[in-house]
Amino acid sequence: MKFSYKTLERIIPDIPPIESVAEKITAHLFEIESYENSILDIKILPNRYSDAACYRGIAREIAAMCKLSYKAPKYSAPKAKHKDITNPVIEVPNLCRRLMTCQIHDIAIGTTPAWMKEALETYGIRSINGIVDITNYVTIETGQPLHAFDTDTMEGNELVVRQAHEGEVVTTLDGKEVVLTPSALVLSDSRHALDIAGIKGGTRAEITRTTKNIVLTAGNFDGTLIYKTARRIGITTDASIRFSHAISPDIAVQGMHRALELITEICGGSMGSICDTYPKPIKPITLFFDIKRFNNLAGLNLKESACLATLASLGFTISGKKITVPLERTDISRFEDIVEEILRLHGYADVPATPPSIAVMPLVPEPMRALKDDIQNTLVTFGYTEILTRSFSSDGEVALENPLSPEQSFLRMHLKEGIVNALALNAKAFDTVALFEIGSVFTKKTTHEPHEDIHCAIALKDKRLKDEDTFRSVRGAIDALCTKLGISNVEYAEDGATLTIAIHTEVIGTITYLAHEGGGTYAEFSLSKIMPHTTSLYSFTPISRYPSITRDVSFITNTTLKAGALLDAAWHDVPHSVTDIRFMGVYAGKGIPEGKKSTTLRFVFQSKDKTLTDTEADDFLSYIMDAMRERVEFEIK
Amino acid sequence: MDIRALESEATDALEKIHDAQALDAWHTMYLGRKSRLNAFMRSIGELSLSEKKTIAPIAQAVKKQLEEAYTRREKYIQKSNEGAAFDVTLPPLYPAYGRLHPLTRVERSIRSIFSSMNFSVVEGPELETEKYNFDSLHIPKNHPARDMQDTLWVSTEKGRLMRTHTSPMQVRHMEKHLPPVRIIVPGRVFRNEATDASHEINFYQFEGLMVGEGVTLAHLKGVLTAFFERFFERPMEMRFRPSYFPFTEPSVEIDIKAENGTWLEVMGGGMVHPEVLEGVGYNPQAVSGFAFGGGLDRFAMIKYGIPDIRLFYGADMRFNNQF
Repeated sequence: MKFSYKTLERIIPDIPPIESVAEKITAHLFEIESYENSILDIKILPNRYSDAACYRGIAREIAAMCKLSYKAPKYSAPKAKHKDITNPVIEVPNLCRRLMTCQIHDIAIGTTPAWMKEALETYGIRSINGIVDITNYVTIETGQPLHAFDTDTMEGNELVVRQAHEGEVVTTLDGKEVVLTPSALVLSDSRHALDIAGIKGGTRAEITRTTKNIVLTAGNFDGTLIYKTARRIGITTDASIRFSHAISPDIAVQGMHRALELITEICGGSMGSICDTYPKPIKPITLFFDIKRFNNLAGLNLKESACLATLASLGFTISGKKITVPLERTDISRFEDIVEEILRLHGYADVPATPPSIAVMPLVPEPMRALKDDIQNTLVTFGYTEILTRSFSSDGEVALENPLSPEQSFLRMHLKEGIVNALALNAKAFDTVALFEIGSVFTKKTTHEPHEDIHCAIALKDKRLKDEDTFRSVRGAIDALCTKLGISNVEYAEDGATLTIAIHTEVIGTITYLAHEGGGTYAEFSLSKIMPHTTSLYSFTPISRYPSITRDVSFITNTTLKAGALLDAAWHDVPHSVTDIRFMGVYAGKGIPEGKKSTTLRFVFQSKDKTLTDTEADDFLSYIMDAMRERVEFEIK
Repeated sequence: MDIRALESEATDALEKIHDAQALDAWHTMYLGRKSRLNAFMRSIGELSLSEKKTIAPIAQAVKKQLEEAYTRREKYIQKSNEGAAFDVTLPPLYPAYGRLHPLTRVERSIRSIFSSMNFSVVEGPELETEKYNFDSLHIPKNHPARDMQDTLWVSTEKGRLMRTHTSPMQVRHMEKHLPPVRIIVPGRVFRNEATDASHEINFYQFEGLMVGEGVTLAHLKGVLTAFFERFFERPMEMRFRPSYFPFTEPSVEIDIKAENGTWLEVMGGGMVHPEVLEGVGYNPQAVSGFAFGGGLDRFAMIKYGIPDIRLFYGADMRFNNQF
């Protein structure tokens, strides 16, 4: 909110220079956006909007911070000169706590004084005419929104605060026709709604240049109601913002009195008496000061008298340890609230930096956090670089109600989109792109409730490798990662260009060749699914003292036979001295018949108990090959 | 003639020779027909018999040693010529190694500093409920205070939303643990705001909470001072400014002084609001606590001098590989 330094000076004649006021406000009250050209732009915090978004409130704060002797101006309404009244009637006392009215006869529209124009323009309000300017100015001076109606165009001598009728239309001052429902309140004469209460005035009974007789009103409307109504009808005004922050019904008096003072001064006219419907006047909150508790929360060692004096400077009434909160301070209801008042005025700079003395407890890492750390560390050593992409997608199972754009209208259900895009982006600049991401994904389970899981995706594109070798490389990374995490029983099943990954028969993820996305391989798996299978408990296996014997065999098979099938057949029935069967490579072309290929496997034999002989190794090999023949067709090169 | 001086002169000269041509020249000079050694040996014949007996063996030994030295040097030079074909100045071949994301690095550094002060690391869901994100944190419904955080809603009807801060974990954790509580909560949060150099639709925060008997605002300053100095690895000046968060009272804004002397707002914090404590069944008369929260991205930007928050989520290896 923009405050005119000149207006502040009128209210606090001994106010310090603007720079030092700005510095004080920053240290003790609010953030200052700027203070140039005698304008202080102050960021009013939401809890203080109800009392400090006005000159009266800010002046009180400045006086307290700068330790000036200051008395809040007392306003007094001029004496009544006639007996005409507009009776304020409140039909909904839970939503409208107060309504004040006062009729003024024979007003001249008046000329707005320069100082008032300056204050209004600083705030961002255009000067319109005497009466309107006065109501606007009084709002920014006292914080109380006001509204005036032309009594000559009103019907009856009542102003009723009631729920709008279903479908009732109010044409606002800027010519918009707003259709209301009973959840909105209106101010109404005996026949028609005149405005949308607390939000916007209507054209009916509007003040014009020819207006002679008016009724000035100051009301107090429920914050929640105004907040919801303003949002629903899409009209936000200065008044609606003020009411939304729950201003005190007490300040209606200040607004009314100050406006009548200024109207008499500027527009003349003859005042009537003030009518005030205020069914349940609010009572001041009282709190008891406890210096020990204060110092315990603050970590300071202040004296009680100093604390109470600080509160007094802010307008709190002190009597012994009893503190009465000013009625306009709707933000204060508990002891901790006054702790803040004292602390901020005293200054946070004095709060010492004290290390806490604590009972030390062993830190037990959360299993999911530990797993993420393990995976990150392992994949980095494998050459994969971590990326983070946005949590949104153009497609998914969990939609957002208020997306920022159509491309981000769903929560991502997997990490594929982000990492595959990243592969393409980076392939322009790098021959090898190896990436991984760990992040939350969102799906709808059968219950239709959105469900969050944490996934890991890894992706590889390498211009120096054949596509099948990038696939093997990603599979190798997954396999080695599982070993590193202590996961055993990892199984893979072929499904087109995809390999599903399962642990103990539960599918935990997939590895996919990106045939349609320009090549490369991508894998994704669920962390919550692998977590129960991880372990850091390794046990030692004795290392054989005897040498191993290897035999390389080339199998000539149909080209359609996949390496996996050949290896499965080889492993199907093996003597226990077989320690490994390694894939050495595949070859087709010169020397191999059309439609055939040659796959070389290396068989490794080793005993725990003795040195194997060549004959024994050859026997093992022929045993394995016999078993293989029952499963796959092949010839030996 | 001093045969020994000749020997050491020849040996010294030999050690300075690195190519075959110079080696030939050396041989001619010290072992050749016209060499001084040869002349000397011829002159032995003119000596007396007793002199011959002493000098001749010495001269023979020197000759033999020089010849052996010559052969060794010849082999040595041959060998170094073989090595010359091996180019040790070829550019390096780098091992393939990946990089952690800069935000992960910063997060780990934050976690490790707070772990060293006995804070446990806990994490929570990104898809939150209205209850934990707002209600239990005393953020009033239908009040402009909720507008401070533009929310991405999954279901307004069912109260499901993308968490706007990591603070819901304060409540989730306290509901399940009795005081004393000391946690640090890093995680991804969401705001429904247009993206620019300093705003992202998703970003990272870290939340700190300490609740126990006699916890004060001075302790918040103590813990954060220690944190800032370790994180930025230099002495740090910090200040508290008044602020408002519905779930802390008093609330403060936390600024640190940048190296150029300007104040940077890096965190919000305060004393945990008594209604938040009551909400989880703690007695605010018996225990008190502080809470604070900061933007991880912002800390990374300050630490590494990164000008644009969007770089973190662009997955560009030219950026990620710098860390």
